[in-house]
Amino acid sequence: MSEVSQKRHALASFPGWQGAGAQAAPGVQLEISPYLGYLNLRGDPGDERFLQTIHAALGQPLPLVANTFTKALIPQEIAQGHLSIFWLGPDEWLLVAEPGIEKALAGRLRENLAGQCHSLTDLTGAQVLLRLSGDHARDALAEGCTLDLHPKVFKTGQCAQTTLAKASILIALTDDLPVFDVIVRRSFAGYAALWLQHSGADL
Amino acid sequence: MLLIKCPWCGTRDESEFSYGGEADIARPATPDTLTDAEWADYLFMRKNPRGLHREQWVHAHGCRRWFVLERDTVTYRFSATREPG
Ligand SMILES: [Zn+2]
Repeated sequence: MSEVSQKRHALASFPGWQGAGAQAAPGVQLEISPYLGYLNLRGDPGDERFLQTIHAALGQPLPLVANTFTKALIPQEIAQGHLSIFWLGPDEWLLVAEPGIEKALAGRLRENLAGQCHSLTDLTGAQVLLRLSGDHARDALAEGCTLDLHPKVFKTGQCAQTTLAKASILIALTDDLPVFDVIVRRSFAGYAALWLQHSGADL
Repeated sequence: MLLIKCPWCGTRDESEFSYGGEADIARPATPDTLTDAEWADYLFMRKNPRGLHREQWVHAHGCRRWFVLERDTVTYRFSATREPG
């Protein structure tokens, strides 16, 4: 396997994109986290042993309610940082942690789940997180997302896999401010970021 | 906007879903004993009713699960989504 000497920012080649973030439009702030750690976990939520093993390993339970996520500190003995767990489907979750931590998390999970039916896949590098905040963040998203993003319907702690314009995304409301986290495939990151800039400018 | 209820994610826009044809078509258990006509019937012949139609759909941009729903081909009304099998 060849060593990649330098990581390349997913939006490095896009004109007008300086550094880690941009004021997409008045009232719409766009930040990018290109290097988070991602793990996809599958298993049977009806299996108590599976659920307990995960809970013990990660220090937080898997979210079993559809379209929700949890976020908590990672147990000290694994690493320093936070872990978010997103519900993706009835037997599928996405684990997102600070860069580099995913290896320690995966190691711990593999060790504790040995012999149990499950699937764990490291997706790190395949996606990018775009963080959208500001008074008009909701309006900018609503231009291209078919979900009802009204605060009475889509609340903090909820997430959903859906589409933003032509891109498949995982969207989550992480704060009432509002702050939206949009996880998008790396190859669609430029498209999604530019689309958000343009939709913000239209408001 | 046409809304479809995924059994797992809830009600979403139709654009998140893909159609997978008529439901309840079982592959013959012993294909080698079938006549060409019977095999062709399994492969190609579909009900195409006017009215209620049981269909397979997949929540392609959501949870990526398959499910069965009933659609009225006259009114395009969707009803009774459920897990397959
Ligand atoms: Zn679904």
